[in-house]
Order: sequence, then structure tokens, then C-alpha cells
Amino acid sequence: MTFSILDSARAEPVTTAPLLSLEDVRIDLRPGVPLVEALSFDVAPGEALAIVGESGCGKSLTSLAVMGLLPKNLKAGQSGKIVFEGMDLATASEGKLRGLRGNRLAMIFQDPLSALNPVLSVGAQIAEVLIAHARMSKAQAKARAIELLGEVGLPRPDLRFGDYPHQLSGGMRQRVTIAMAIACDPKLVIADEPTTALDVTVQAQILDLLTEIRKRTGQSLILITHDLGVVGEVADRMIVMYAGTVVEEGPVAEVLSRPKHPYTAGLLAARPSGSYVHGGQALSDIPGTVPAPDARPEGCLFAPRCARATARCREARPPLDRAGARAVRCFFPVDGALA
Amino acid sequence: MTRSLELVNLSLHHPTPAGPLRAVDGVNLTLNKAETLGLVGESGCGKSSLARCVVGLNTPQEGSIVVGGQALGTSAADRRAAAQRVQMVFQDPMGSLNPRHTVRRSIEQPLKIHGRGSAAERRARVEELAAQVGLGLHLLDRYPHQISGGQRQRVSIARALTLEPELIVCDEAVSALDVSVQAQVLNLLTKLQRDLGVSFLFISHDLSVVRYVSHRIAVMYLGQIVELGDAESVWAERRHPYTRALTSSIPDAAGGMRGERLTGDVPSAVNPPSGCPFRTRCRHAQAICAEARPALTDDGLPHLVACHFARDFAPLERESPPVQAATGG
Repeated sequence: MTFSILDSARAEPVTTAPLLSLEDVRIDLRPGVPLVEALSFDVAPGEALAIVGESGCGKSLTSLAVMGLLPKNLKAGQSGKIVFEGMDLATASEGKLRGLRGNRLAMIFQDPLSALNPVLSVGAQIAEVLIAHARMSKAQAKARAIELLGEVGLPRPDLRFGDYPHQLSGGMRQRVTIAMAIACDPKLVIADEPTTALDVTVQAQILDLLTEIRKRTGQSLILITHDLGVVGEVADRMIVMYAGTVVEEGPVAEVLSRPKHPYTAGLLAARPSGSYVHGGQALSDIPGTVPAPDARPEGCLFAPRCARATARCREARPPLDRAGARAVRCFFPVDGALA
Repeated sequence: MTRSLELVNLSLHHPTPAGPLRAVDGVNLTLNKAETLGLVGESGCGKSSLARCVVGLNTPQEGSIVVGGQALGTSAADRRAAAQRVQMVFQDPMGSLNPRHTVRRSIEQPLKIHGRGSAAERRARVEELAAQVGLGLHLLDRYPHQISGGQRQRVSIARALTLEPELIVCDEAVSALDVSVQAQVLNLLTKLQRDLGVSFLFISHDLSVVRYVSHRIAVMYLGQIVELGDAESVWAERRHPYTRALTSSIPDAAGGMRGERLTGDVPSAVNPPSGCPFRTRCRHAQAICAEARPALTDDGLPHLVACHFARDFAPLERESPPVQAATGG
């Protein structure tokens, strides 16, 4: 059988059931020390969801849990469920997961140089995916790999097929990993900081490409990033993670213009804007750092860094309050647009 | 006004099998006392090579470097003297701090090397520096792996300040930090400049950060300065097509990057394009761009631009600055 991205996108019926659903997922470092906890969110078919937060907030662990790629000493779903197309991935066998990965579920990593095999040509690496998952012959796989290299914007893809990763620029390498990810027309692509290692001009090209592929194929995208600008460019909806859990969720335009959680508001305000030396002001930073997993506070996880925190925040963890498309985990959410 | 740094016709070539790689190609820059000069460009444009020349880690083939009124020499004695005038803060403090030295020892080391003060005086100076950069005294006896990334960068800054240099070269000093910590470190740098009058050569690929901290901005492409001037003038006018492309590539929290997109990558500096270095990626390139290298000149403009058609581009003010739109002003 041959794969055509256009055919399968047309054949897919429109459904309202989520493609991926995480329910109360917890990942423990050791008993009693959760890295990720009370994590729940959905991804709808065709949707681009951004997961935002600083280092150590559990963004990447979440994506690895979905892919079934957590380190051996960690285990997702000691409580909670990760349901993808009706199957609970947390309890699925390794064989089942292997059938999904690269096929229905695909991932793009931050550093393409370490995601690619240095001693195999980039074309052969894409063809390998097609031979393994789409059961193509070598000749079919080569032809399709060249097509894919063209689709992700490599000039003269027939000549680039035989290139090794070190012969390509960083941007071109990331295009190759994107071609590998979309080779089998997955339903969900997870991109973990896909442009963080790239120059801003190349980042813009890659973000355009991710959006173009998603619009063309109807794939869902989970974009993990620390950059709120990138979120604004690419995603429909976003969740903000802090210290291993979701603190805010909602449509991108709403969350970025009217953040409810003090952490989201703090992240937005900390971005440099204007000019300090030409009459600007000091940046409003968030004091302190994200607490280590074994040093998380009893009450609200953000309370030690929060200017709005009261005794109540230090005693009890706020629940994730939902109202329509928005959700916030805070007893005293920020009200209205930021000043 | 006294100058902290003066670069005259600076060129640095790295030998490669395919011929010399022109990392820095005839750069002229000055930096005034207590001023911040932001240097932006993509990777491979020569920013870091230039920085390494300024602190003496690279020896340029041509041109001169004057730091704090004295030429940067190459002898060991010259190097030692220069270390008291110019210091550097690197991107990754984990890589630039000795993992086996405590914070205290790292900050104190320059004083020992330069034979400054008694043990008690050095101790007092280290504690004074720690206070200046906002490091708690309890952190002084920790090792780099025991403190956070933001704290490590504060240690690097304290160490750079130890000998009271005129000039600190910050090479992507905040790029590896999370945004909330980045804001803390940027606030620290502006405060130090206010309190101590230190100058910064601030190198970054992030134009919003550079615009925020800099008095003046230099935009670098393939080893050459293509636009140079007052930060607000460069930002508001953006006369060089490369500067425009850089700014229109900044992802915008308000959604929808606008304007010109660059295609392709920076060409090889071993075999740069003839004429204007940017012409291979420039939408506006004409025949003359392949023939003649445009001079960096103001030619009736408010700042210096190296483009044959700089005067044809109308001044540009971004319609809605990303962050202000996102935060409601």
C-alpha cells in the first residue's frame, strides 16, 4: 500500500472525541516524590496544543510518558490514564507501543544532530521508517523519502537523499527529523522544543512548516516550548505547567492577553520589552526558582514565588478550576488584562 | 567621552583546508564608558569570534584593539594587564566555572592570580561581590552543581567583576536561562552598570533582549557590521534588509509573524558572496550588489547602514510590539 497524506486526511471523519486524553497522570521519581502530578488535558483531532513552562516543570516528561519513552526507573500511570485513540498507553505492552510510535504517534526533538544517526544518510533514515512501519519495499520507500524531503522544504531532495546529517545545516537537519516524524502520516506529532537550538530566522521557517503540515494533513500537534512567542505563532490552545502540574489552560489568544494564573502573568511580564537604557523600566522578574521535586511546598506550588500568596495558599493546594475553555489552579487568580 | 573599547579594521581569519574563513572581516566599532553595545546576528556571523578577539582569546591578523585606552598586546604580561580591563561572561556557567572549586574560590581566584590584597581583604572583597550580584553568603561554600543556573550565572558575573574591569563581554550570557531568571540577570546587569559604570559588549541572537539592554546596536552578518547606531534608531528604522528579516522572524505572542522571511542559511565564510555579503538571501538584490561591497555609511540616514539601497527603505515601526500587545501595554 502506498501512503498519501492527502487521502487519509480526507478519509478521516470529523469527531469531537479527543484524540489524546490524560487523566490525573502522576509520574513518581520515588514513592512520595512525584515529578508530575494531577496532570489532565485533552488534545482534539487537528488541534495544536502548546505546553509551556520553565525547565523542570515536567513538560518533557509529559511528552515522554505519552510516547511510552520514560526512563526505566520512572513509570507513568501509577495512577491516572493516558488514552490515545481509545487505548490506554500507560498499561499498553511495549509491543503495542512500538507499533504506535513512528506510525500513529511521532516525535520531533530539540537537537536534530543527536536525533539522527550520524553514519546513515538522511534519506536512508526516512526510508527505514517507511519500511518498518508502512511495509514499503526499498524502492517505494526511497521514492517516498525523496517526496517527503521535498515536502519539508529541502531543495533538490533527490540529491539530498544521500547526504549525511553533518553535511546539512541545523535548519535542514530539523526538516529531516520532521520528514521522519510525518513519514507514516501520524495522528499526533509531539514536538519538544523543536526550534530552541535554531537561529531566529530559521526558527520562523520551521514554525511555518509545522503549521503548514498540520493544516494540510489534519494532524494534531503538541508543541512543547518555553517561548511564549512561539506559542502565539503556532498553537490554538495552551497549557501552562509549573512544578509538575497544570496551572493554567485555555485558548492561546485569551491566555496570553488575559492570563489568570500569577505564574503565567509573571512569565509574560518577564519578557524583555522596549528599551531599558532609553527610559524603560526594570523587568519584573519572578523571584527564586522552580522548586526541586523533593522540595515542593505543602500548599500551592507557586506560593513561595508569588506576590499574591496568602496563608491559605501556603496551607492548601488549589484545584484546577474550570470555566468554559479556561482553567486555572489558583485561589486568587489575576483579574483582567495585565497592566 | 572616554572610550572603553576601540576596534579598528579588525579582521580574524581561521585557516581551513578550503582557504581562510573570514570570521571577522574589517570591523570598526567603539564603545563608550558605561555604555552597552549590543551585537546581534545569526550563528556563524562572527559574533563570538569578535568577542574572543576583544578578550584576547583569538589573535586577529589585522587591525587593532584598544581596551580602556591601551592597546591589547599579545605577550603574557600584556595579557595579564588586559585581564584587569576586560573580562568575559560566557553562555554556559556550568562549562566556564571549575566544577571542583567552590563559589568562593572561583570568585577569589582572579585576586590571587593578580596578587591583590591579603587573605582577609580578599575574603571581604568576595563577600562584597556576592552581595553586589545578589548571591546569598551561604552559597559561597557550595559547588557549581549545587546551585541553580541563574545563581551560577551570578557567580560568573561576580568573577568577571572581581578585578573591576572597564568592559565586560557578555557572550549569550542570558540565552540559556529561563525567562523569569533571564529577567533577574538582565536587571542585575543594568543595575551593575548604573552602580559601577562598567561597559558591556552584549552579544546575543535575541533582538528583544539586545534592544532592552543596549544603548547602541550593531548587526553583524558574515563577519561584517551591516547596521550600527543608536538602539532606538536601529530598531525603529531597520534600514538593512537583514535587520528587517531578523526582527520579522521574532515569534510574536500576539500571533502572526509578519514581513519578510529569510530563506536558506548563512553562506560559508570561506567562500563569501562577492559584493554585498547578504545579497544571496536578499529579496531586493540588484546587479550592483554582486559587484560592489556597500560601505557602512550614514549618507543622510540617522545611523550607519551597509546597503546600496538603504535610503529606499522607508523607516519601519513594528505595527504592534509583541509583548506590549500581549500584556495590554
